[in-house]
Amino acid sequence: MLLYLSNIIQEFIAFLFSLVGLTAEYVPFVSMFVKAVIIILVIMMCVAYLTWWERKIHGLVARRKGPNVVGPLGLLQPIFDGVKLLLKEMIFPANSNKFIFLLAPVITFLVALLGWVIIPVEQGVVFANLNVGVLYLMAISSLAVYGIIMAGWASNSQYSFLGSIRSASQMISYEIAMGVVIVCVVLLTGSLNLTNIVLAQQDMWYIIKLFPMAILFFIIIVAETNRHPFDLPEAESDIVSGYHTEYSGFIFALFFLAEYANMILMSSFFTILFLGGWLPLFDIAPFNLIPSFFWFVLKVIICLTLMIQLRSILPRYRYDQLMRLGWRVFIPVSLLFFVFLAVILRLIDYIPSSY
Amino acid sequence: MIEAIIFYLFGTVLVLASIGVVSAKNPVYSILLLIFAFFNAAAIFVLLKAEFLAMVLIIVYVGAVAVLFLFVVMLINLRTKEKRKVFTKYTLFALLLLVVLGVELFVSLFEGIAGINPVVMDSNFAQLGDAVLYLGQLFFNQYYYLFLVGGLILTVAMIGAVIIVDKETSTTNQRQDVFLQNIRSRENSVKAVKVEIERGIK
Repeated sequence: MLLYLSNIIQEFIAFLFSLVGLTAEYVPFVSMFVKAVIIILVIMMCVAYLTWWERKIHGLVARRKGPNVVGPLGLLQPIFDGVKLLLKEMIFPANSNKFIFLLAPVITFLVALLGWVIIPVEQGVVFANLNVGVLYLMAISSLAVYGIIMAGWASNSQYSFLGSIRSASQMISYEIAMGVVIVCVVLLTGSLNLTNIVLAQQDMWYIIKLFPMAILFFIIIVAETNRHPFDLPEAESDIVSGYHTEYSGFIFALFFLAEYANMILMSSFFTILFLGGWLPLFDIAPFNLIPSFFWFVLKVIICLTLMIQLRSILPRYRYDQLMRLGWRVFIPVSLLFFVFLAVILRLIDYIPSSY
Repeated sequence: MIEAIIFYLFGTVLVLASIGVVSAKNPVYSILLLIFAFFNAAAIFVLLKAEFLAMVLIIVYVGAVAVLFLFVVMLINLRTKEKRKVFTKYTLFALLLLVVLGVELFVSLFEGIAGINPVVMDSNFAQLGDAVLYLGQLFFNQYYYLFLVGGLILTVAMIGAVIIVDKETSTTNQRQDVFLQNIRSRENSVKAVKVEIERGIK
């Protein structure tokens, strides 16, 4: 369905070009640009309504109604919140490094958007079908830490700096286990291409084949996105608000958007690696009639809902417990499972499906 | 044509950023420029169709090594105000190192490092599938021994670091032991005592 849409955009741009009288040489270039803008707008809308969804679920858990005043079911609430943030004043702390202070949210936001380049939402619907897609996502998620460190340092505030140090060590520690879990998936698939990984799950999703690793990966993505119960970088109770204590107005909005965009990105990553991406639940009549794009969205929403529920029902981890979980539990367990899997695949002479 | 323009763009920025790394006054700027230089190098790798190398460069150097540099610099908070001299007593030594490294680089480029013949890349290795597949075949068939040795050295270094840190902190820090906490039961931790009035517990 989305493939037709993308073709229609290309046709439309070609038509506009012929109206103005330009050569068709630059049509792919311009349509790429237009698609990029559309992707960014869609992500921003998703982020806005993710905040609405999060508040609704927290409301349900706490037996409240959640946002319900602005618009039907409170649906206009995120837009009002956005406008409020844009109209607020930007405050620069005294003695802060202005250049890095401004650069930090921009980098965080940019990195949160960069990952979307390679997420396939449907067969063939992907902005760039990289052969090293998994590695690209790993690289992008390791960059996210820079924005946070720079924000913490440039703010010239103890709370911010503590928050950013916590965040950096947390993200680096959990990245190792994340890499090992991803290697398990790559062992079964034989390819680093995300589209191939999804297609390799046609007979059985990897959440069944690699069940313990899937749960591990889910916990890791919660830690990677600095979400509850691992949201120590911005623990309100002990370090006020962590690395964005000193940020206000539009530059704070960039951090906020980046956090939620990262949540959606990581959920999509989980969906692609373990939940079979856009593949239907069963490949029989009522299920495979639904457009595959909706399956993708449904799985991402289930992941996000789980992440949000974790936030509303679990207490926050203490810092040494978090580090212990990362280094002493996740890394050994994932490494052992990786060796176990490799030995078994060797014993049964498994040939990766996209070799 | 466009590829050449992009190459020279990234190349120029790479050289400028590298000059900035050594000449910036604030060490934090130095490291940020270093990261920027890594990015430009990765972009040049992508231009050469070595996407794997580009991604590994970013994951390893930008994602892990440079973060640690940045950490250290921010924690010790260097604020050098005095002007730096261009020539110090180490200048001669640095020049010597530069010459040695340069000669080594040229020798290894033209002659090949002893014992290892430089891999002659298929100019059309893209037809084999992708570069990752090609690299994997080289690593795990032709050079599996060197690959294993490399992995072993890194593992030993990692275990060494963990042991050093563990010994220093285990005596000074109070550490949580989840296993001990979980096997604690009411029977062996709480005792009901009858307290005598005005005597207290002895």
